[in-house]
Amino acid sequence: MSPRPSKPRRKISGIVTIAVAAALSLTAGVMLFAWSGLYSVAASEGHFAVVDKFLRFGMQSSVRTHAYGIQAPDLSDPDLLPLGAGHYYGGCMPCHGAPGHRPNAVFQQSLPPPPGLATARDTWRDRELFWLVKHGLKYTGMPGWSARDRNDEQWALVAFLKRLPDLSKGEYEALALGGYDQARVVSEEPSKTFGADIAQCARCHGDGTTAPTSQLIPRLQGQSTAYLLQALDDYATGARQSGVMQPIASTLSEEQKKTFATHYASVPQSKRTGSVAGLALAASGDVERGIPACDSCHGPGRHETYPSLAGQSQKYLVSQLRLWRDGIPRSGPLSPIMAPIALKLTDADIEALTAHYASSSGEADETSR
Amino acid sequence: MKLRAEHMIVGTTCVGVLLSGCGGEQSVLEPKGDGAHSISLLAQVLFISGAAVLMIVVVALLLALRGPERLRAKLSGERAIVAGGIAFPSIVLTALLTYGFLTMRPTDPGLAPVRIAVEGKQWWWRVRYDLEQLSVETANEIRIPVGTPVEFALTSADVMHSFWVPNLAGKIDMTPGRTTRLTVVAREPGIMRGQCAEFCGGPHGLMSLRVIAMLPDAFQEWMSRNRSRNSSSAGHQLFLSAGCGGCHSVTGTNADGRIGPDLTDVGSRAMLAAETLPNTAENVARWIASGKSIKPENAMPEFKNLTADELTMLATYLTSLK
Repeated sequence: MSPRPSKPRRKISGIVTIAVAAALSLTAGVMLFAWSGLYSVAASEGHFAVVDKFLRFGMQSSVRTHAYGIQAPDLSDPDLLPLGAGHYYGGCMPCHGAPGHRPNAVFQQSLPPPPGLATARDTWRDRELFWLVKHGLKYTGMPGWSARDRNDEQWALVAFLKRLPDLSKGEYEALALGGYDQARVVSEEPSKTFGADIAQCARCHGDGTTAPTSQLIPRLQGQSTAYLLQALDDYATGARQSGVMQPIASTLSEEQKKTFATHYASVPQSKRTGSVAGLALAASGDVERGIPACDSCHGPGRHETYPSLAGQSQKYLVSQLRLWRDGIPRSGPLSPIMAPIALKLTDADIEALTAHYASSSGEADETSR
Repeated sequence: MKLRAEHMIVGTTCVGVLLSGCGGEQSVLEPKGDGAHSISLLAQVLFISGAAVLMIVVVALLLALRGPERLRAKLSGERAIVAGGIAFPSIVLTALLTYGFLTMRPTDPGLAPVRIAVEGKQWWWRVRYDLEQLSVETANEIRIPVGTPVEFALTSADVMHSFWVPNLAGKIDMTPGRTTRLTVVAREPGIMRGQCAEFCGGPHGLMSLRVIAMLPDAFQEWMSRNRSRNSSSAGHQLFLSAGCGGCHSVTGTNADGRIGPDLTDVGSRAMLAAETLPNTAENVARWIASGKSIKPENAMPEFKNLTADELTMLATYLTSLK
C-alpha cells in the first residue's frame, strides 16, 4: 500500500469539498431569506402561480397515495344523505357554501380559499373524499374529523358530496334541516318543555312526535332525561366519539342540554304494533358465551342511565353495536358495562338483536322509570 | 465435634416455635378431615423414617472415621455392605412406598350422602348442592356436615384450576370438560380456608374459598332454610333495574342470571369476591363501583353509573340476603 494518496482520490475530495460548501451556503442563504422577512405570508396576496401549482400537485398526490387501499362501502343508501347533509349544514357550509347559501365571506379570505364542492365528485375518488373528510389538510383551514377513531360517519358526508351538485336549494334544505327554516330557529309554538332552539335537535332527530330524518339517526323520545344528559355530556367531551354530535353537543349550555333532554324524555311513547316474539339472546342471554340478557339493562324497568332500544331503527342500532363490538375507544360511565359484552357478539347476533329491538314495540316502556 | 445437649434443646425449641406458626385455617399441619389426617400421618412417617435413616448413616459414618478398630473392620466387611447398602434400603423403601400407595389409593366409600358440585371459574367458585330434592346454589363458601362423607364433583368452566383445602384433604385439579371427584370427611367443626392451587391467570392469587364444617343438625337446618327472597323491596327493584339480574340470581325473584355467582345468600358469606374483601356494606358498594381496582381483570363490570346513594341502597340490600 502506498502511503501517498493517488491522484484520482485527491480529485474526488476536491469535489466533495465544493459540494459541501455549496450546500452550506445554500442553507445559509435560505435561512437569511427567511430571516429577512421579505417573503410575504399574507393570505391576501396569494402564492406565485408556480408555487401554487407545486403545492396543489403535492397535495393531490399525497391524498391519492394516502387514500389508496381504502374500501368504500355502498354509498347508495338514501339514509346516508340526511345525515351527511345535516352535518354539512353546520360543519362545512360556512366555508364551502351550498346550493342557495353563499360561503361566509370571512372564511373565503383564507388561503387557499375553501373551494365550492360542486366539482368535488369529479375531482376526487370516493375514498379520497373520505380521506380528506377524515384527515383534513395541513396548512389550509380544512380540519380533520373530530372523532378520530370513527371510520363510518364520514361516508355519509361522501355520499352527500356526490349528490350535492344535483340539489336545488329546497332539496338541500329539506335534507339538512328536516323541514325547519334554519338550524337555530325558535319554535313558533314553543312548548313549555322544549323552549327555543328546537331545530338544533329536531332538524335531524325529529321533535319527538315526528320521525328522525334518516334511519341512521336515533329516535330520542322514550329515553330518560338522565340517559340523554349523559349522552350529550359524553359527546361533548369526546368520551363517546362522534364527529357529527360533538360539534353540536360541545356548544350547548347546561340549560339547553337540560331543556332538550327533558323534552324528549317527556314525549309519550307512540304505541307501535307488530311486536315480534321474544328473542332468546335479548330475553335470557347466553350463559355459555357469558352474554347477559340485553333486557336486563335495556328492557322495561331499566335504570334511568340505560338507553331504551325498542322501536329504534335497525340501521342505527347496527351502527352503534358495531362501534361497541369493534372496540372504538369510548369512555363514560356505561362503557365498562357494555364494552365487554359487545365484544362477544357476532355479526349474526347483531343482525338478530337489532331486528328484534327495531320491531319490538315501546309499549312495555310505560313501566320504565 | 459432638453436638452438645444445649444445642439440641435450642434447635428443637426453634423448630417447634416456627412450626406452631404454620397452623391455622389454611395449613396442612392442622388436619381436620380424614384426607388431611392421612396425608399428615404419611408426612410424619416419611419425615421420621427419613430422620432415622439419616441418623443411622451419620452414626455409621462417625464410627467408620473414629470408631474402635474392631467396629471399623466390621463396617468395611462384605456383610455390612450387603446388609446396610442393599437389604436395608430395599426393605425400608419398599415398605414406605407400599404405605404411601395404600394411603393415596382412591377410596370408594360408596355413594356419599352429601354431594357438592364445585365449578372453578376465573376467578371464583360456583357451588351447587343436590340432595333429597333440595338444590341450593352458592359461591366461594362451602358448608359441609361434620362426620359425614362429602363428595365434591369438581370441574372448570374455563382454564385449569386446582381445589385445595389443606386442613381438609389433598389437592385435586379442576379440568375443563372433565369431572374429578374428591371425597372428604370433616372431623371437627370449624372454618378452613382453601385456595386455587393451579395458576389460572390474572388474579389467581385472589381465588380462595372457605369451607365451614358444621354439626350435622346445624348443616341440615342451613340446607333446608327458606331461600325464597322477597322481590318487592326497593333495594331489589334497584338490583333489577341496574341490570344485576343479567348475571346474578336471587332465588324467588326475577333475577335469574347464570353468568356470575348466585347471590341468594350473599349476605351470610364472610368474604366477598372469593375471599378478597370482608363482607361489609361499604365493601359491597366499593366492589360494585370499583371492583377492577380491587381484583383486576375480574369479569364484574364497574357500575360507575350508580350514585353513592344507590350504591348504599344496593349494598344494604345485598348484605341483608342472609
